[in-house]
Formats: sequence, structure tokens, C-alpha cells
Amino acid sequence: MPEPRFDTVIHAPNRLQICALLTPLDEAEFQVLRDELGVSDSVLSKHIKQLVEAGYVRLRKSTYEGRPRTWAKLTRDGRRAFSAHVEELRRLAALADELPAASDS
Amino acid sequence: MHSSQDRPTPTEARDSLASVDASRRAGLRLAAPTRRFGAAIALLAGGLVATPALEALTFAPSKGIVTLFLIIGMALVINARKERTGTAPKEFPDGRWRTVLMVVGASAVFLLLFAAGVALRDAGGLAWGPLLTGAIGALLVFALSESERRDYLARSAAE
Repeated sequence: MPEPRFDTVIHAPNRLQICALLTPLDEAEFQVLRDELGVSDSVLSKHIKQLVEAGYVRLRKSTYEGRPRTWAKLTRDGRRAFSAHVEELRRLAALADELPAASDS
Repeated sequence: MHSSQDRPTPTEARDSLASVDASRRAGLRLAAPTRRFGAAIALLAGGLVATPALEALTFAPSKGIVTLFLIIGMALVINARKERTGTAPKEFPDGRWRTVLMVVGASAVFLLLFAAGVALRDAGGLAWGPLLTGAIGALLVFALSESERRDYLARSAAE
């Protein structure tokens, strides 16, 4: 289990969703990510760019039936950072369960 | 970039975890192999095991060429699925040793089936013996694919 580590690059809601969506996949096409997140192309591009700059996502270009396609893949660093971030969220969420108990005593 | 500032409150963390779970479930749903995909890969894998049966034919094509076509067929089926769905599921489990175990295990089972087919043909006198082991191989692959599909769908519904 990874050491809990809060990551501000991953924590933004859209980027958190992108990482979570990519976790069980080897790679996903840009349009699939856009449709699943329900955001515009430009919004998705902006978030993907930030993940790429952090070294968490790698992009690959291809063509299919004459149309250009972009594929996104979580890097090993990206998977590690995402797992550590989720652990940190779990740790923080667990505090929510402890707080009422602490205030009762 | 990785500062500890702007940390969410426990309640916000819980909401973020809920969003992570929902997105992960969506990813699992996208990654689930279809029954048709499993059947196509199973037929091609079974065909690979059954290639020694070609010798029973009067005008048998080269086993090497048939094997090459079957391997290219598998690559095409996998690529077609990827291009059609816009997703590629993780082919191997997490962890180097688990991946090695899976590859070695699958290769051993297929080599065993291949050898059994050849033994049935040569020692058992059953010219079509490899077809039988090929069918067993195909059923095995289809069963594995079905189990993987069910696992993906169950996890996407329950996680």
C-alpha cells in the first residue's frame, strides 16, 4: 500500500476523474475521456496538459480511418502518485468518522 | 506542485473518494471485454493449438503460414476492439511477478495442449487429435474471457 501523499496536481476534480478513469485501462482515447467527464475539448486539453507536464500522463497520436486520434495513458509515476493521493483522501475521510466521536466524549 | 496546502476537509475528501469510485467504475465498464471479442480470441487461440491437425489434409497449407495468419488475426482483433471502443484494457495484472506468472502459466498450458495434440496424432493414431485439444484450448480461453468480463462488470457495479 502506498504512503498517503496529497497531490495538488491530481486533486483538481477533473484531473482526479481522469486519473481514476485511466487506472483500470492501459490507455484511453481523448474523445472517450471527454464524453465520460462531460467536458469540452478545451477543458479536457487543459487538464491533460497539466498531467502531462507533471509526468503523470503520456500522450500518443494515431490515425484511424483517416482521422487523427490522441490516446492518453497513466505513467508509472502517475499511477503511484494517484494511489498515494487516494490513500491520503481515505486517511482524511476517516477523520470525518472520528470527529463526531471525539466531540461526543 | 505537491504542497500540503489547500488540503480538503474530511467531508470534501469523502466526496472526492466518491468521485474517484464513480470514475473507476466507468473505466472498468469500458475495459470489460465483450463476449464476441472473447469468442474471436478463443477461436484463434484454439486454432493455434490445432495446427498439427493440418498434416491430416491432403493438400495442407504450411503450418508456419497458418500460425502466422492466426497470430496476425489475434493482433487485428485486439486492435479492432481498441479502435472501436477508444479504450485499451490493461493486458497484464499489476506487479511484475504476477505478470510473469500469468504469462508463464498460460504458455505452459498451451504448450501442454499442443504436445497432447501431437501425442494423440502420433502415438494415439488420431489424425484429428489436435482438433480436440484445439477445441479444449478455445473453450479454456473463452471461459477465461467470460470470467474476466464478469469480474470487470461486477467490480464496475460494486466498487
